[in-house]
Amino acid sequence: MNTSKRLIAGMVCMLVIMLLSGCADRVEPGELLVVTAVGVTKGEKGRYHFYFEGINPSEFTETKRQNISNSFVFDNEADALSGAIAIISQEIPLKPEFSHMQLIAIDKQLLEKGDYDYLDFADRFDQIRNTLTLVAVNGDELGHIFATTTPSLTIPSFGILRQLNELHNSVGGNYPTSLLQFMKNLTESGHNPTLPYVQIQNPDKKAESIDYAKQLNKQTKINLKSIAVFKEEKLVGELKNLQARDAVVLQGLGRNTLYNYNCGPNKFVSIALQFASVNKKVTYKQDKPVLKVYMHAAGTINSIQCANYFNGKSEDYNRINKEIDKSIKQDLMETLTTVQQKYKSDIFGFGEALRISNYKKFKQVKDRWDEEFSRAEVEVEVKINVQRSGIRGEPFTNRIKNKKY
Amino acid sequence: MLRKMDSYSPYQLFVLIFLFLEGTAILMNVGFDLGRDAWLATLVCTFFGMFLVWWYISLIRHSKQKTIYDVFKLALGKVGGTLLGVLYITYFLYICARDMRDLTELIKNAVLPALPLEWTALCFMAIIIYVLWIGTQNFIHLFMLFGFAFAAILAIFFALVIADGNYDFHNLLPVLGDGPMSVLPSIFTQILEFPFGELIAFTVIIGTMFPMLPSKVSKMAMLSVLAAGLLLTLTVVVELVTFGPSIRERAMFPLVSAARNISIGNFLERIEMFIIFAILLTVVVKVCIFAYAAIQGVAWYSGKPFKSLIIPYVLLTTVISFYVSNNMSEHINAGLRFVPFFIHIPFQFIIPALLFILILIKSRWRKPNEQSAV
Amino acid sequence: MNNPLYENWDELESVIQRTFGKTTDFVKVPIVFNNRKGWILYYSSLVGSDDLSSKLMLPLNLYAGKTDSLKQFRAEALASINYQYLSEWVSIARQLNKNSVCMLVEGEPEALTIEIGGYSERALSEPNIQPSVYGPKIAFTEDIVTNLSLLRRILRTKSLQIESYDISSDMVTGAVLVYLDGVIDPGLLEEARQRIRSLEGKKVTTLTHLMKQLRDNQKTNFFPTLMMNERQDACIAKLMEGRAVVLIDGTPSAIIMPVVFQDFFDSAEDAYLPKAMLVFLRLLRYFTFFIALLLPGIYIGVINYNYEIIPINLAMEIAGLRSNLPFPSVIELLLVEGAFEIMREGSIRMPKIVGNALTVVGALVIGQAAVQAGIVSIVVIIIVAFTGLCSYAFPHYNFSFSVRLMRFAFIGIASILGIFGIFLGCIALFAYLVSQRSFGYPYLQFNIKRP
Repeated sequence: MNTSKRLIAGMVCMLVIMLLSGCADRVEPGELLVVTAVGVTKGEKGRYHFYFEGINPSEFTETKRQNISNSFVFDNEADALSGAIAIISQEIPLKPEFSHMQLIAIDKQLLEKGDYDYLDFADRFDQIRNTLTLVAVNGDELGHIFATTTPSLTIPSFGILRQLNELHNSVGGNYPTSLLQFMKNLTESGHNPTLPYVQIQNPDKKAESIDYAKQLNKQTKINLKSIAVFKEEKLVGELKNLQARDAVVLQGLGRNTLYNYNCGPNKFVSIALQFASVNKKVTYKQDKPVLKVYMHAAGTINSIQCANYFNGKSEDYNRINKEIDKSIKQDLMETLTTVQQKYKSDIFGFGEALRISNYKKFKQVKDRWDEEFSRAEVEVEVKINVQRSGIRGEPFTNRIKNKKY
Repeated sequence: MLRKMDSYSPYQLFVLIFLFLEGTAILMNVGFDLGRDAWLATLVCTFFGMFLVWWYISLIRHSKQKTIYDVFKLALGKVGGTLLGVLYITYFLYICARDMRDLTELIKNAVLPALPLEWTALCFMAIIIYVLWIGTQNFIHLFMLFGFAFAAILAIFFALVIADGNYDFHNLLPVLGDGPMSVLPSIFTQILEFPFGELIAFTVIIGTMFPMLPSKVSKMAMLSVLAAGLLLTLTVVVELVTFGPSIRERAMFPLVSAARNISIGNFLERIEMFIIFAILLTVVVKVCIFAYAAIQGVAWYSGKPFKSLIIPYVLLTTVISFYVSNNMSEHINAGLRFVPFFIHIPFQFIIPALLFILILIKSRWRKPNEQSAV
Repeated sequence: MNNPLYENWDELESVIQRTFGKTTDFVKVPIVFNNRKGWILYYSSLVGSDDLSSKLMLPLNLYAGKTDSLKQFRAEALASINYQYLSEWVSIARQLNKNSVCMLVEGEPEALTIEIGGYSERALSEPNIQPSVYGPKIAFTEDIVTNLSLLRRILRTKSLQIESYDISSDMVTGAVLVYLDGVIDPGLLEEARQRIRSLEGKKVTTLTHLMKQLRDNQKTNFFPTLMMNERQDACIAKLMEGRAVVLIDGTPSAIIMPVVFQDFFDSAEDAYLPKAMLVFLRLLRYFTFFIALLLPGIYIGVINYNYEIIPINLAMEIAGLRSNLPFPSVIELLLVEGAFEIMREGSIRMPKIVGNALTVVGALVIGQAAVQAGIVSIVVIIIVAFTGLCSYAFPHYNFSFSVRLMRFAFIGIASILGIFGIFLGCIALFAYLVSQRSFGYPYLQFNIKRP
């Protein structure tokens, strides 16, 4: 028997083994249930109540559209996420597929107790994306949130994500926290986690059908104005509206944002900030920590409501710089002290700053850092450079009274 | 113009050593218990590694032999040399099996979870057999190709990490916060042995590639170790800056996790398959070189042709790779704690050092004889 | 010593009859040469009558009476024509098969053969298989002499060497080895000579036979190591690179040897392009190579095993398109791929007028109808069409055969191991390519600096 014959014999053997044992992981995309979002609340029968958002994929094609809803919600109760997946297989004749999951919504009550036992599966399971976004929700609203359609985007979880990203990119009002980032803040000291807090405005049964997309006046909305604040692993409260934005800026995650200040009674100047960057520093003054915040950004005048306030001269820019600095400083101080006094939790990462600058001290205070944080002095320094004013110089309100031509 | 492959170029050695060092080191969690200073440890080890490769090459050059098996014979005589040679063959096979297991575990955990481990290993084994079958000159040539592919994938990967922007260099600070003493033991008991000490396998190859071992060769080898160490450091840095030490410590395959982190425009996501391809290329190189070193030894002692030994010995390695450990934790623990201390250190440092001394003594003792003979 | 051509003149006719049989195109004409008897022998299918009368008969009439011997006659009257003196019937027969006319004269021990030729030939035409925009508009023809003249007309140098070999079982079909002396590697030249010589006695009459015999590792070879070319400029470019060219009588193409992997990504046109464009085109061709080879396999691997790679919007779309289809993805792909290959093969063999209609009809029927009937998904049609398009993008046609066949292997391994299988397959493929040799040269060439 020569070598080539032996080689062929070996190949045939390999082929037989291949045909006998391969194909173990094969899936057919037509038989998949693409799960895009998971919601967790406290359960009654099982430990948790899981909500799943599944996709009707045929709605996304030209030829097979049936004009049914794009997604659907189903729920079950189990002790763990893997158990819930097992139950899906009993109820729906499709193979659940989690690799395209984008959102996990977690009940506030679970977070308040610091219960994360359902998350380890998501952390460990090979299909899950690292970019998976976590949000906190009110447990009662979860069903509504997963069923409420948004204009143009008819998958609720996509709507929430898109809205969250848009909010973060344009005004820095909230930050889409990924699973990995949340895990990092949970497991490393010096930076307590935060999560976007998703609420629903005017929940309505009518809004949970595809016909709602045809209505002009939409009252049911998803509200992303607040962020959930954690102390260690427990949720302790929320920061709302502008304070939420300030918190994101202080975390150093808001690149673009919008700040207003008063230029007259009930009149505002609004400045769009770009490239906002925040440096944090912690020093110890006689055993009392001092938190220093340096913020600088480039600004553009968005609108000026006061007449004759701005003439397009360099001095005007300087004046506006000073005013906006003062105003932002005040806002940030307020937010910082609120968090210090109300929640006593370092969600901004001052602990990390201390770790970088003074590791020895950090190791001493690591375990009681939140107390140190809450009794710390705060210094904020803001330096905004307003550089341009859009495609107009002087505002037209200057010329209404003072006509030149 | 067409060229023939008649001799080896030092550049080939460069790529060979480079891919060999990246091998499983880029896949496994190197210095996982060092936290933020893991990158520093690999960087320091790089320089020790350069010394190591110079030392291994000069061991071969000094003894004027081709492979380390000849050196054994020269230093210890026929019986002692054979005994040591068999030990080394076993050692090479064991490391080879461990590397094979590393890759199959990766495939099992991250790519094809439902496929039996045996089947993954069999497929991989078939590739190894074929690559060895085509002959030394050809597979070294093939590894040049791997080098280009690997460099391209890694370059794209780093570009994507930067484009993604989801990294924080503060994760690296403070450097050596717990003092240098927290890093030093690991440097000498873990990272220096894996991957740098494993270059001992090149003592079998390098003499046959470059018969006279000119100084250019050892220079190129040292340069290659430097480049590989820097790349290893860079990957550790990327892992640290993308998700911090606490997640890295828990990650089975941190580089793959770092690749999963990339998300550009909701379109370029989950590109870890490309990284796995790069890893696969390097693991093929590493397993092939260890298998070559072992089989070359068997061929040297038994006098049988190299090709006839490929299939049985690679099969044996595959079987060892099943039984090398019971579960993942045992595998990793053995690989990063037990093996370096009790197996790597004697085989990589102590025995070569003793050999070196022996040969120096012998050559000094023989010198008058040789001169008279000439 | 050889036997003489004939014992005595009178039995010559029966000897001729015995040697050449009763084939109807064999002509034997009795002549009178300076009062001696003689025969003229030729094949009427190989020798044109016009040429015969002007080149041989006319001089015979004029000079035959004035010369004493055949040798003198040839020197005076036929000085410009190729000739041979032969004394064996076997070699005479061979010579006659090469368009010659044989003259036998009573009393002369040797026969004179002179090359007349004169059968009708095709004129030079434009290249059909490898058309070009800028290059010369001349393709090789079936006549070996014309082809050689095409080569020498450009390479007017004494280092252009031409070696003739009589190969094939009757040693009649002529093959010619062309090379540039001083440029070609002597080892390669010796190897080429040896391979052509080894063909003597085998049934080699056309280029395809020759290709089959000249290849390396005839059993395991999967990628072409020889290149057929009908363009004069391509052959000349290769000759100047130190390669050899083989021409065979009766085939309008040349064989370039040795050829390596990279050569199949160059076209003769490339010399006219600026450097940047050249690099772009090369990259494009390598890219199409990988697409044509791997795309269906990658599709199967991604769809069936690594679904997470697909971005979510596309993933939903594909899941929707794949829902409620009767076949698994692999079977579906193989069906469409098979249909495409049949279509391609069918349209090549069709007469030209029908061919166009067939492709259009086939594409329409298989694509549109199958999708509408819900038998296959539109994604598969796109994949197969794009793959097919890519396999047409190689400058050299015979390379795409290997790629087409390999593609099915990759579909097979991807359907079992997914993307991981594709990776392993790629490694094996390149290991194979690296291990191949083309006339002793590595099939995959790298430019590595040598010490």
